[in-house]
Amino acid sequence: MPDALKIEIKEIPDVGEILDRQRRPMLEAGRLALTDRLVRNFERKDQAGNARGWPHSRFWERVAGSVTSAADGDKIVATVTEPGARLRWKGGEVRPKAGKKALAIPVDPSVAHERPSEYTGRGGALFAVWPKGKNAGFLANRGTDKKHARILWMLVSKTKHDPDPTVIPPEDELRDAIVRAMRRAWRAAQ
Amino acid sequence: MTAADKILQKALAGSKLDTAGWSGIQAGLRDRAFFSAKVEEARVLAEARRMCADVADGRMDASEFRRDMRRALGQAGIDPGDGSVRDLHARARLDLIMDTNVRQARGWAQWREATTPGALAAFPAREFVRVGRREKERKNWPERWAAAGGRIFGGRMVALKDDPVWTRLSRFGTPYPPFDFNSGMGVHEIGWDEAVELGLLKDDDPPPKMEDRGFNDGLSAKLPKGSEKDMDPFLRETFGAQVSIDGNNVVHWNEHLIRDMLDGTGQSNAPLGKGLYNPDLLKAIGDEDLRRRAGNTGLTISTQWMATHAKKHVAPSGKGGANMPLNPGDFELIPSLWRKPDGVERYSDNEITIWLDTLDGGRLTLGVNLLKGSPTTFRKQKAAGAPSPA
Repeated sequence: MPDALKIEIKEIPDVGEILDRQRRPMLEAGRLALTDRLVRNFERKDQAGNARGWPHSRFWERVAGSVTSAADGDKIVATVTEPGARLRWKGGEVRPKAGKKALAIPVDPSVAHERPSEYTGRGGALFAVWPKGKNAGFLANRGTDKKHARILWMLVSKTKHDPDPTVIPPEDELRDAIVRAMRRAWRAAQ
Repeated sequence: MTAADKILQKALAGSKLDTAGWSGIQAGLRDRAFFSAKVEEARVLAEARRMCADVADGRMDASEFRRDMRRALGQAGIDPGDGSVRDLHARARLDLIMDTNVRQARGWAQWREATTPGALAAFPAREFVRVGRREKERKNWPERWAAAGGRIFGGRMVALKDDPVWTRLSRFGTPYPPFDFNSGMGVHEIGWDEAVELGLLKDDDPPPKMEDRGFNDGLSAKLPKGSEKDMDPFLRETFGAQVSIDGNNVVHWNEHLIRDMLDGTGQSNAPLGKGLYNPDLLKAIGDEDLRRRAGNTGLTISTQWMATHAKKHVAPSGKGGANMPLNPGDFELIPSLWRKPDGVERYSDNEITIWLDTLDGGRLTLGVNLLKGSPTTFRKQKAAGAPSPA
């Protein structure tokens, strides 16, 4: 329309720029909210202690300490570097590594959380027995004679682990915590 | 930077200091060092550092760490002792080394995440809580908290993240867990609304700003004003060529200077200070004048010298020689080699050759011109070979 009236206001704030400036602190807040939720959950699991009454391995405490989170596009990703957490969450089968014939499961508290290679490395002597036709064997320490040997590890060809969904809190709970934190960071940026 | 990177970044610091002695070292300097009480052997520390980084990254478990460390100790000629925590072979000692270093690095990584501007806006405070069970739990944490200037809110030990209580509380002088050896104490994040409810701040207060205290960049290694003259001889006596103090009274681990020079980001010279202090080693030098100079000469590494030798990946020689390629870690051992070599030999009127056996079967050999205070040659050979003259 040739006679239209146009009013032009220049130099208004760039909305995109405003959102970009707020995006980073919001993601920083969201990351930390995820880390904190996971850390607290892992620490709660550590309270249960060792079911067999063996020396406490502090596994879940280590898992809690190994959590960090990063923002990537429209998602926040937490990483847990302590090995074993994923197996406990998802469950699964564990088989020996390449070149190994069996998994060694400690069955005596004196070797709790110890590999046979550590035991022999510090001077201990072991002998292995795998009865014919059986799917399990054992490692025993070489005492003065085999009659008085003590079984320290069971040898198995594989282990199966049930999943434990309580390792990670429900996704909705985590998302709510992230969103609350992001909202708080957005408010602070106003 | 990951937790593993944080560990690998630390300079090897061999010394005779015990735990109490290390507690007396300024936190900023201690935080940048990889050490263990009374361990002088740089190569043992190098192995421990590498393995702690592997544990932090989930590539190694505790049993493998203990097994491989005992192997390394045996190779370094360190025998098992009485099984106490002073015995490097003992499980208690090895677990302490691994646990403390890995937890500190992980604590640092979580601290970095917790102190970004956005994180502080949503979670301005932390609560000091028990996070792990222990057979013998220290009960005096509330008293230690109060003595460090912390306030207690309804039985809860809570503080804003920029509160100095966090560094004062810690045995290690760092504002993140662990706060003591094997303590089982850690932190939980406290959200903004809860912090306001507790009275730590008001709703319209700005979030804490960590930049003001420099926590994000690590602790300063600057010597307190007036202490320079006393600290200088103590640091030199304790760490020898491993440290130097610049014109601004900031203490540097020389390994970091060398690393920066290799990266091309550092200064053009790294003065390593006076050399051979071990009387037994000095006796090996027959000439009295040369012996005196070996003990009093300061060695300076230049970028040019580094560049020449860094480019020179010494390939296995065809004459049955046993040269091994040099890697950056070998250069970083030069301050430790200068401080405490395994052996010394006179090469000429003004030159000596010093060497250090590494745990990968190599022998690092450094030629030093005592008149000029400069290195000559640097090579790594298979340890079975005697050090050939520089």
